[in-house]
Parts: sequence; C-alpha cells; structure tokens
Amino acid sequence: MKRWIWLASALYPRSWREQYGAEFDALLDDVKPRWRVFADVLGGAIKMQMKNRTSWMKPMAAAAALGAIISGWVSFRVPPRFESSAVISVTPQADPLRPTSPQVLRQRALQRFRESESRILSRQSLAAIINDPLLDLYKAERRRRPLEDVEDEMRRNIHIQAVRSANDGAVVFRVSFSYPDQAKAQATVRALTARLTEENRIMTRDSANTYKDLWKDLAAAHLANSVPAPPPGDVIGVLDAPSTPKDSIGPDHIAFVAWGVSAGVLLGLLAALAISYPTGARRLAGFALMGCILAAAASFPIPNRFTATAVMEVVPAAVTEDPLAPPPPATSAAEFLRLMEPLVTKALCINNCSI
Amino acid sequence: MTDPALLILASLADGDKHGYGMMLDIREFAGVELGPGTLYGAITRLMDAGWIRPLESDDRRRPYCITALGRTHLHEQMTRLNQVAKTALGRLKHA
Repeated sequence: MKRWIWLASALYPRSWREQYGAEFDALLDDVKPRWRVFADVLGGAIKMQMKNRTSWMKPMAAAAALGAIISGWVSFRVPPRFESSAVISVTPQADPLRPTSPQVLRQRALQRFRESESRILSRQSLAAIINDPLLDLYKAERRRRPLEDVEDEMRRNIHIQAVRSANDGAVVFRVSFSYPDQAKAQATVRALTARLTEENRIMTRDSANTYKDLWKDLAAAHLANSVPAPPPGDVIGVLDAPSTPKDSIGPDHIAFVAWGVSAGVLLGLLAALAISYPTGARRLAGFALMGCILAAAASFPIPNRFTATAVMEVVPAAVTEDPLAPPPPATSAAEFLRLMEPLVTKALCINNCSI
Repeated sequence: MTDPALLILASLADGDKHGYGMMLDIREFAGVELGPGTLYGAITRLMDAGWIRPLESDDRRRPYCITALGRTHLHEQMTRLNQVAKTALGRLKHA
C-alpha cells in the first residue's frame, strides 16, 4: 500500500512538489498506510493537477479565441461560391430492327453518356471552356498556376450525376458547376450541357457512319444486298435549364471558425507545454531544427523529379445485344459469323473502345 | 464544521504545527480525520491566500503559523458561525 501511496504522491504537479514535496513525503511517512489515505492522496493529486491546468486554460482560451477571430475574418475574405445546375435526360431510341429490353437500352445510354462525360471533362474540352472569351474563367488562377492545374480545379467543381431513371430506359442527370461568379457559373453549365448534346450528336453520327461502312464492306464481299438503317442514337433533352444561383454554397463560416478554434487550442496547448517545460521544449525544438537541417541537406543531392499525368478511360464493349449486330443473313449462320468476325471486331474497336 | 481550511486555521490559532501535528490536533478537537491530500490541498489554498505562512526548519516536517490576516479571517468566520449557531439553537428552543 505504501508503494501505491508514493506513486499517487508522485502525480502531484512538479511545481507543487518543489514547494511542498519534502514535507508531504514526511507526512506520508507518519500516517498509517491505508486505502483511504491512498484515495485521499490520489484525489488531492488530481485536484492539484486540475488547478494547475487552469493556468494553461488562459493561453489556450486566448489562442482559441484568436484562432476563431482570424479564421472568421479569413472566411469572410474568401469569395463566396455559387452553384448553378441543370437537369438533362438521356433517352435511348427504340430500334424496330433490333428490339431490346429497356434495361439494356438504359445500360447502353449510360455507357454512351459516360463516354461523352469523359470527353467534355478532358483537358482539351475544359481548356476551351476556360479560355472562351465570353466566360474567361479562373482568370486570376491562370496568372499564378499552369493551365493543367486550373483544369483539375475546374474538374473538381463540376459534378455530373445520375439522379433517376425512367421506365422507357431514359436516364436523368444533374450537371452542376460552382464558381465565385453567379452569371459565369450559370453560363458554364449552359456550355457544359451544350457540349454534352454536341458530343452525343457526334457519337451518333460516327456510329451510323461506321455501321454504313461495315455494311458497304459486306455488300462489296457479296454478303449483303442492301444497307439497313443504322441503330438510332440517344436523344439528350434539357429538363431544367441552368439555374440562376441566388444563395452562396460556401465558404462554410462555421467550419472555418471550428478549424480556427481547433488550431488555436492546439497551438495554445503547445505554448503552455513549452512554458511549463522550457528545458524539454528547448531540447525538442533543437531536435526538430536539427532534423529539418539534416533533411534539407540530404534533399540537395537528390535530383529533381517531375510528374506528368493524363486521364484515360477505357470503355468496355457491350457483350450483350450488340447494337451493331446485323439482321439474320441469307447465308447459314456459321458461315456468316466466320466471314463477319474480322469486320465486326474492327467495327467494335472503332466504335466502342475509346481512349 | 468540516471545512479543512477553517479547521487548519483553528488548529494553528493556539500555536505553530507541522502537517502531522495539525492532523492529530484536528482529529482531537473536531473529531475530523483529514487525509494527507485534503490537508495539503487546504494548506496550499491558505498559503495562496496569505492566511498561514511556513516557518524556518531544519526538519523535513515544516511547521506553519497563522498570520494576522488569517486570524482576522478565522475570527470573522467563527463570529458568523457562532451567530448562525445561536440563531439555530434559539429557534430549536422555541419550536
């Protein structure tokens, strides 16, 4: 028990022990060691530590208040952001020559739409939108940072997500963009939806051309007499035009202040620790400084490295109910497939495998 | 009365004592057994308030004495307590 009482007495704050430690230990030598004494000494140590901590509370509270004020000020300096959004529907057209289920139509429409999405989010497409004289987006950022970084930032501010699907295979998407300028946010969403529609038109046209070329090749090989109509593409319609943003979506002032308070508490705690344990803090700071110097010195002999990135998307070919599958041929099925294989492979690669 | 600070002041009112001496004295005159943690918690508060002060000693057991400020405070507290006690006893008689 005596050992436990000694351990509890060691929990008193160091400054307190410097003043009262010797006489307190003498008193502990005099009293009969019991659980009650242990509990009393432990309780006293906790209370004294709490009392001592109140001296820490002041710098911590001051630093937290300062952090809240600074972060609050910064949050009001950050320009507000506005989000504009539009709702578009992608409706696949039924093909009377090659009837398919609505599920397959929807899957195909989704696949084509994602392909269009990856095209409009490509660097080339985003650069065109950014540099559009009517939009002139991220003007200040372009002065400070390379265009690639600005494009990445714009990509992060664009959100395209499927919101629902209808029974006829149509899929509804929400296209949104956030930007400090309300009018530019709206105009950018308009540009994005226009580009999506245009990409869809180009894809439908390319697909029809590929289909016609394939059947021309078949006719040249005397495997077909006429060229059937190509499968129809998807129809993109704008359900809700780009909205005019009224209220800002950011910055979140409360989140800013919360971060400021947290940082202030942490810094205040570190400052209080440094004040309470100056020798330890000096030693720790010395080690940290030495580590920084060593790391900086070690970094110089290492040659610089640069990283270039590109975004690629590989869209897998549909394996069920291929839209290019032709109507039943006049020749036997086995013979037809043997002759068709190289042409179909070529067509699939041209039409469905995009990089 | 179980306030450790007042008990310590009362104990030191008739002479200087070290910690263990105060513990024994308080147990004797008040019937209250103060633990070492409670005792030194109160001593720390009394020192901070300037109501007691330590005396020079070669021994590890450092004695304390009550200051004039401590005496005044103890007197005020006891007078008030006495008044409360008298009032309560008087009311008990008439009840």
